[in-house]
Amino acid sequence: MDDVVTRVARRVAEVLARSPAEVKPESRLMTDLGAESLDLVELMFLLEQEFGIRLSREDLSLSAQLGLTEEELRSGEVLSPKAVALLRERFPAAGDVLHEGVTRRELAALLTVEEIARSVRNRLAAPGA
Amino acid sequence: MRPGERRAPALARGTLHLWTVRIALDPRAVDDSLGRLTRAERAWAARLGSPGARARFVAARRALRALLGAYLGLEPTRVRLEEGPHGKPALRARRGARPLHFSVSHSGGLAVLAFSADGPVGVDVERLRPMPNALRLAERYLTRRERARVRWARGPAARSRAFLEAWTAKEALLKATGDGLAALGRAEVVRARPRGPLEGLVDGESRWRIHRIAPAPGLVGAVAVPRTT
Repeated sequence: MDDVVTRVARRVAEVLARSPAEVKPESRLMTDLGAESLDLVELMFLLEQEFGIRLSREDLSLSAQLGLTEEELRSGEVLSPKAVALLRERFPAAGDVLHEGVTRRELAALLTVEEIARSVRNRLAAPGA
Repeated sequence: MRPGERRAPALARGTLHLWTVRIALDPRAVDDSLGRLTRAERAWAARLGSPGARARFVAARRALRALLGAYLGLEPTRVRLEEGPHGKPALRARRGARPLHFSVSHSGGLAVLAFSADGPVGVDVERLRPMPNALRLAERYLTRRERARVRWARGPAARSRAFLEAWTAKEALLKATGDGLAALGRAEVVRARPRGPLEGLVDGESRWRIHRIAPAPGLVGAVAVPRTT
């Protein structure tokens, strides 16, 4: 594990009261580790402290990062084929989640420790982070 | 009474129904509940690798279906649910039927379900627990007016409680509007006057009433409904 992933995993374990061994880079926060909304808010806060950055909800919201409007994102109740295609490009290893007809809520399964570390790295690299 | 055991009382205008359901963690109870969900819901439950998350989802969804079915006079599995833009579940509109709004929250082994015929509703509960970062979380995620009580609370226990009360009020509001945490910075829960009721503001406009609830010992929470006055 690289340093950022290790540090994120440690904070995830702390917020969810898990042993560090239970939290792996590929662990899915909401579906594997059972994180709820306030857990995510606490985690964002701790990561801001840990890395000296400022995260917004968008940093953890995968749909917001695709750069699609609300209309483009959905097709009726499920994600639009365009959104699914973009997500598959972005998450090549998440074929099991990104099936045809995936719903917005199911995207929660994409939020992994690794993905959060990636957002943190992006913030660290951004000017003014 | 257990949801689904008999018909739920009629949901009159101007009333709000709150139900609490214990979340059973043992695998047999989870399996039993799974049998009362739709195929898509069972598929989603199968993706939940966390036993706690799976137990919460199946118990809350089973109760939701049972109660909606009782209100509507339908078989629970025939209740048609859909997802709103930000993932909030809702009843699929039925021609000629009056709307029925609901919201679900769970924490600490209990699910709370809120129902209203008047308009969108949002409920949020949190288990009372030590929040060592309460003050700093309040400074980061609550407005100055919202965090006043957290700042003035004496001692860690009172501070944790004040934070969880303020947080659940805000999250109930965000669940009622359907915007979710994405709109955290646009929402505020305040009293318009001392000792007055809690009001929910979105972009500075007060359209929501917030009621604090204490559905069980050790839980704090709030429910948000549209303002009528």
